Amino acid sequence: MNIAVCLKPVPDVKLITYDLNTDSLQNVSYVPDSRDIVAMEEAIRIKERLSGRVAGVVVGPPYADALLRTCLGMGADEAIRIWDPTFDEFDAYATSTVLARFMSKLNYDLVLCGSNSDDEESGFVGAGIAEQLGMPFLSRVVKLEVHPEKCSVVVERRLERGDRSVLTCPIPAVIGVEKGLNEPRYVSLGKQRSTLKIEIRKVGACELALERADVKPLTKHLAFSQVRPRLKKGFVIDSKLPASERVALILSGGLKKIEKIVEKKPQDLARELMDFLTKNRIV
Amino acid sequence: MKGGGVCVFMEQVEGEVKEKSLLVLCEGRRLAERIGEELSIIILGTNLKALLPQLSHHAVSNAFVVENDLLESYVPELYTNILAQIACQHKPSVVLFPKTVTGSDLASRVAARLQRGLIANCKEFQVRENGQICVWKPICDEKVDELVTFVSEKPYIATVNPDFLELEETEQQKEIRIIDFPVKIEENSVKIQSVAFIKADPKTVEVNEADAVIGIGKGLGETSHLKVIENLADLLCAPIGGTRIARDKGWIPFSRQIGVSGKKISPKLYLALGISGSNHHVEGIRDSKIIVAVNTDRNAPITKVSDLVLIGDLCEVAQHLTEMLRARNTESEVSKK
Repeated sequence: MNIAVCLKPVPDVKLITYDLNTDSLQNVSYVPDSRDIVAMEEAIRIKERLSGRVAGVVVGPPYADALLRTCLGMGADEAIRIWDPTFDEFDAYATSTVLARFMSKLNYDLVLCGSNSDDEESGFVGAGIAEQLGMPFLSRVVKLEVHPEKCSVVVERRLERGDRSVLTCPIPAVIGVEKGLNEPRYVSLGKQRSTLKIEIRKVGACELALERADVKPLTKHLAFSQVRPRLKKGFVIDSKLPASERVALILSGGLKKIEKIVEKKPQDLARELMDFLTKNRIV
Repeated sequence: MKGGGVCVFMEQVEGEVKEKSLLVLCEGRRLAERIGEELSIIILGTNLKALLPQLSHHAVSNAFVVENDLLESYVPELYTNILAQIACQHKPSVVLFPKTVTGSDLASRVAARLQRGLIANCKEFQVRENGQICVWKPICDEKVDELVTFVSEKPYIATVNPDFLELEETEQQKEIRIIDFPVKIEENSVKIQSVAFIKADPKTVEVNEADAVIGIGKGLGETSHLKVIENLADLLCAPIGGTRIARDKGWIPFSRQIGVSGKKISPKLYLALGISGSNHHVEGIRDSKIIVAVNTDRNAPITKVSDLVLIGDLCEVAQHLTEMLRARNTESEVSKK
């Protein structure tokens, strides 16, 4: 089983803040994307079961090396970083083009990636690679079984409200994984250090025969802002209410007011609740 | 009217348009008004013409209706092919998808097929004086908003987050012109086969994915009372979540904590048992459709956000309700026989 895992370093979403004064993002420290690292873990588990090779592929500037070292520490056989100084502006489409071009010459049986990233959450790269390589694509995968003898995979895909659908498709395929597929292993400092001897393969634009026009982004970043308010309808605060309640209303975002307070014997209360639930077609 | 218009992909299940799609349709209408173009919908499935009257109050001009038995449920390759065909022939300016499981999956596939930019999880559209469409979208776990624009050819493809929107119907009714669209459905292009569908088990489902959720708080009192709540949860098909205190006492695991430091939920019913309703908790339940609180304190803050407040002992109420639900279930079973 020859597996490629596409990864991306993302800013730690727990730490990142927006600074109004400088109009920029602060506390940007890059960490592995949580779903991508799950994809890497899954690839290594498949390799351990069925033997084969796992390659971690990143499109990014030199700071992405740290992510690849983590992959190597986890047990990846190869680490590849694709970057070229001419790649200045990049979006998901350009990334998928570069990755697809890189993979087109190598016969991977499976391409794994995160279903969407922690920062942009567009979930495009998997679909983009699959389309350009002509492979089937499955997103939001929470369980993955590989059947090399049948040349197929069986996956569970996460739907809304906790439902799952079970799907099968032939390999080679592109699989976008969700958190919950597995628990990524811990990479100890010793292991991480031992990977320093392994060289990360660097691939440039010429090697992939990519022209500037090939990797033209299709979306463009314009600005950042602090979180803008939701577009939901505003609410009018009743000026007759006491100040404390008005403050509470503002804090709670103007949640609807109570309809009914009932004070009765428990049995009647239960009856009341039952009627209410029946009326609202919940039971 | 000039230009290709705004197209909204509508999801439907068994003859009903999904509410999230309607919310996105409202946003599509606002966008169409601002860029001065027509609003159209794309809908795929079976028996669709019957559900078009549901959309008469949304100023929809055209409907691309594709009916085929193969399209009854979401088949990624077929849906992608059809949307790509519509986009190529009718050249809309913008195609919007609801940010749902199906919508997001389909949007990325269509964008990849048409080689167009995709902006996901849109919050707010801005139309500049030169007609350029810009989009605000939250990034990094909704910590920061980013303004993005399309630099590709039209159609622009975007998924819109319905959680940011509210339903708004027009007063005027509008006749929808159905565009019967001859599509090529290539069955042999389907590589992904569906094997089975697994319905969620309410007891193990995450609190943020369930339709009904029971929340417990300090008012539960003792761990032994948990049994009563569990019985009720079984009958209501609801997972049990709760407040920080419930977690500290070991009644619920961390994955079931609801609030600012836990999960944000949006069920149809939230039954708050013995929860006072501190801001930290209320922040996590504000998107619930109906909130019912059972509490001994009629001045608890939770009463301010509830649709129904019952003043009484939660264990007794839960017990009686359990019995009633049981009685009703046996009744309906008997009547079935």
